[in-house]
Amino acid sequence: MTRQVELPQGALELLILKAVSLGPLHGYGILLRIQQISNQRLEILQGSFYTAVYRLERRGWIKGEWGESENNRRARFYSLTAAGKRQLKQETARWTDMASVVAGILDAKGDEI
Amino acid sequence: MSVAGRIRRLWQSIVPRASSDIEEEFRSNLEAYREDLIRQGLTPEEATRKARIDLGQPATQNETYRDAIGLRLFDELGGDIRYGLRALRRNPGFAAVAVLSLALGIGATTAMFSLIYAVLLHPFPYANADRIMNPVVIDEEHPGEPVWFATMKPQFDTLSRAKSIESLLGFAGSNMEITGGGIPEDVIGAYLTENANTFFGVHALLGRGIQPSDAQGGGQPVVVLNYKFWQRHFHGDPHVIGRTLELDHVPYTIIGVMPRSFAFNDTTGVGDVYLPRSLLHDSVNPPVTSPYIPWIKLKPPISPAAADAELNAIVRQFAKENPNHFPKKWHLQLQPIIVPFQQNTVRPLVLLLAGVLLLLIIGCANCSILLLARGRARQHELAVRAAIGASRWRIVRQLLVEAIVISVTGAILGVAASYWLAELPMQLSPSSFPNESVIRMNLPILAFSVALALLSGLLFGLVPALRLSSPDLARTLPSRQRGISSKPAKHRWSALIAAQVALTLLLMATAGTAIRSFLHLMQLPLGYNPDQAMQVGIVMHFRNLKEWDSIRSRETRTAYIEEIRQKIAAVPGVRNVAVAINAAPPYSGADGAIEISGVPWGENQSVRIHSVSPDYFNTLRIPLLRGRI
Repeated sequence: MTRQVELPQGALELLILKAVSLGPLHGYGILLRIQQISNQRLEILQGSFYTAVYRLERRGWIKGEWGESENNRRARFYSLTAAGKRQLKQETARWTDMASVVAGILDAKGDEI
Repeated sequence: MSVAGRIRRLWQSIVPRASSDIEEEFRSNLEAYREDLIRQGLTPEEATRKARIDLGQPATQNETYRDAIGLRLFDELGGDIRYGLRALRRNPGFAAVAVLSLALGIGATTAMFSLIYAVLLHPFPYANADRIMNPVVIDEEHPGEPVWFATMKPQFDTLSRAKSIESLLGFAGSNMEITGGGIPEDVIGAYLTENANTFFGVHALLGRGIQPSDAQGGGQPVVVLNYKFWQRHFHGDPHVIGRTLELDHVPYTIIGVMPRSFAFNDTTGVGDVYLPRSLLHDSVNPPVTSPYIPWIKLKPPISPAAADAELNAIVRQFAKENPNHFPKKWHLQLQPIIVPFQQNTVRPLVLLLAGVLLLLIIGCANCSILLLARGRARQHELAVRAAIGASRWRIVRQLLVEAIVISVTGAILGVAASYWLAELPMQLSPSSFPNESVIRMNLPILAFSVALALLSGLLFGLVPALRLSSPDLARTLPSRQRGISSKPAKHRWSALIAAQVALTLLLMATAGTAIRSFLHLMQLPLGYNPDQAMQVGIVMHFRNLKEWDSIRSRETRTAYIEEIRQKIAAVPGVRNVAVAINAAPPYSGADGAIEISGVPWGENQSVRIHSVSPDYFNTLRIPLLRGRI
């Protein structure tokens, strides 16, 4: 079994943006998709998860609209706004830059310095 | 996107989602999670239970939402305010004393500020009033007495071409008589150059102001009414436009009524009626030349000092042409039109403001003491709050909000009272303020009082809030209470009370001194006794050359005045009637120079000459020092 990972600050928001960018999803659907992509390696606390969704909607990065769910129930579907797209692109670049720098330093061997 | 769509988006981005909307979404997520759990093999009961544990109550979700989008502070402040209001209602005695002591201070300070605002900061209704200048000639031998500066037509035209002048108004005052009705009535007419409307930039209340087309054909017979005159003579009749007003036997068409705030001007007397300047012709016989008294509106970037330089050169040229009209050594100065009032009112207003600020500080100290006293009764409540997890900042905030609730309530009362208070000085001493000053509530004054309320709330609330919220051990360890907090608290109490007593004494002493000097002023001997004396101005009008000739000679004029004097003397209740050229002291007489035979001509032989009738001294009860009358 793979190890569980805990998310650092701000990462949850980025993952929600990414999940929504693949197509409109309702709240619990976003959670499922993130867990599915991560191969269940992430455990996300539902309380803080919905708080993050509210915050992203308030900032205008995702917008919610009421619609029908797969089993014909009313649900609120979120999609990425134009501002959200820009934010996702920017944050992704920042995240990969940081990750590569950190990884590069951690990979360093004594004789290379 | 359509405009309506944009507006809807903007609206949605500002207004938080409704509580029912949040709850519905939450329920749908809860349901989705529950179904997922059932798919994973839990029984429906277990799934419901686990979903509830992981996600929480639907009813509290709106709070989570508002917290997430940063509205929590507002929600808590709202709660604190409601709690503060409830606390005030619970303690009506405390509330009344605290609110009243602040209402006094805030009301008086707001009244003073609105007075200062109306009189000094924004007294005139004219557009760009700060650029309107009154040119005065300063006699360098008597620099304290600036002289109004009048021009004749050619000089006025020269002046209007000056580069620093954006627009030039010329006016002249005239005593006129309403004729054609029953009793003739004296009115002050102000003749204005026909650019008046654009110069003042004040919209007429009814009809229109004087405009360039009124100059056509040697002046159109039209008249614009002053607000007070309109109220007095026409009882505020809204259908007055188009009617005829007969002045000095000439009919004029009423074309407009100015708003209440327009009371031009203070130089030649506030006009009851305003007429086009072109109507005022110079005449050779009788020889009357009417001056143009200028008001100057400067071009925006030019400072009064820079304009002074240009205009001085122009006026020096006038002085060469008419050396008699100017003192020996003089210069021209452009005075902002507020200056004459500033000289009279700044000092008393500042004194009054200091006085009411003192009153406000006393009120604040009073409230601090009251809050501290009440705080003792509330220690239990605060201890419970702290015990269930309120931080010190949270308790301080709650106490401050309660203080501000008190101060804002006081401010509302005070501002209502200040509406009346601010009128008081103007009613007591109307001539000290520009006629245009209308005191009214407006945005700057309201903003001032709100700021004042918040500030005083913070001022008097801070000490009690810090004191009551201090995380000392007093509340939890009663045995150590006396040892730790009692002494410093007493210290602070006595400091507050001492400050309050000191300030009250200071205020009382100041008020006492002011009242004493006022009483002293009341008893100052005037040199005459105005008791039961009345002054009636009689202006001699003539409508044509024949009438002018009839009052031209001294004999006919004397006979005319004597006839009036005798008729007044015949009125029952009149004891004495005297006649003088102008008015009762101190504004009477004319400046003149004398030469005493046998004494060499000196510098200080100027006197004021009063032409009076024999009964004058008797009527005003002016005692004779030596000799005879």
